Amino acid sequence: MMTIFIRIISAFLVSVCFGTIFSLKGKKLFFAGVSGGVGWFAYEVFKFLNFSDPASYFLASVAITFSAEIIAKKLNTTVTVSLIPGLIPLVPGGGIYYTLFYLLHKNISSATEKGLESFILSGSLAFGILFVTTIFGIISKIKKLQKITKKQPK
Amino acid sequence: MNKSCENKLNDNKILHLANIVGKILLKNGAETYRVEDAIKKICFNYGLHANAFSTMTCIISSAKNSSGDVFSSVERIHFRTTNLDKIHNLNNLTNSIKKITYNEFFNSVIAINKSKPYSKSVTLLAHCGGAAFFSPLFNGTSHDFAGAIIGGFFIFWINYFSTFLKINNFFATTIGGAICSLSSYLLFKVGFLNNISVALISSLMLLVPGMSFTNSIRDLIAGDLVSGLSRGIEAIMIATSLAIGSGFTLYALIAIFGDKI
Repeated sequence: MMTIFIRIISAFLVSVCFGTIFSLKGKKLFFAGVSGGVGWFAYEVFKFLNFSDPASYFLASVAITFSAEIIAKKLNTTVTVSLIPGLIPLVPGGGIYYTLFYLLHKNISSATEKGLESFILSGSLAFGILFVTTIFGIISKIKKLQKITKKQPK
Repeated sequence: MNKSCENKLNDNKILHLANIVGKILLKNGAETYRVEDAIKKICFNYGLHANAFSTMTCIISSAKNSSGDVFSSVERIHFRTTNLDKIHNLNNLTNSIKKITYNEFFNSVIAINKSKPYSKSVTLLAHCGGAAFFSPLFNGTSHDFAGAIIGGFFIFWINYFSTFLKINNFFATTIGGAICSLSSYLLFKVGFLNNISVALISSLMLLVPGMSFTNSIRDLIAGDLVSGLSRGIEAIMIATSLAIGSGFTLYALIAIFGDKI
């Protein structure tokens, strides 16, 4: 339990550090960290519920994008401000490294496994973003349509 | 818009201003649709009907005024960095364009462009911290934490010199991966680290193409297939050069010194 808590805090801090590298300032820096923490929290929860790795990556990326969209609405800023630093802790950097490491050791089966795994993980991250962004796009379009239809009777 | 203002304002100048805004946005890592929308919005506000096409390296825009004259302009972008704060500020500025005059707008665009990023020491601290806090995520120990700090320190200097000398991203990433491997291997050889992988991966995460990856997906969703694909290829290339830099160096070191890891 304690280790999970430490991991969530470190995911938060990783996102804050990356926000600083991407020169975010003030309140946005904190909220970039929040979306990173939320993402790792979701990942740990679904891991705990025995979800497979790609599924929990997908759901974590859904959580990150969801929080980034809400933060963007509340702070009146762009989505990428908290999305990019928030997604960094989940990017499968280890898989990339292990793929070539095994490949150079002529361990082809492990290399293919790791390569395919990191490819699938980044694909599930991508689909998480795609899913939530499209839903928020539909919501904003519906709101615009409602405004137009309300104005027309007058 | 009143007439005295209209006389002063030249249509070419408006398109020029819009292109400056687009160029700053694209240089600092904004999505393609945001660049195109900003150009259209600014031109529309001053009574021009504009269209823009933007990829990762170039903005092509043309505007038509009320009397039917067409202006066009091409802006090339050669080097990109990431500065999300400028994107945020410019986005808010273009949204509030109706409330301010042309000169105010122009001056604040220039001010945003000149705004300084964090100082060197803060960025160095962020690199060290960013690498170090990855080690708990990979089940690292306190020794791995310290090893990652050292890796982050080296990567900061590589990033610093590559932006200063405008070296291409792929080469800088390869060198970064190689130096990470080297420092982790030396720490392992000295006996400070029990396991080379955690500290190495933690510091490598600083070079991972998270920015290109996210923007590539967001571009593809928005329908900008050209820039989405090119950003995706950039992400794959960076990941490959990262793997080659770190994996090859580690392999060579092991082959020379004959350790088992």
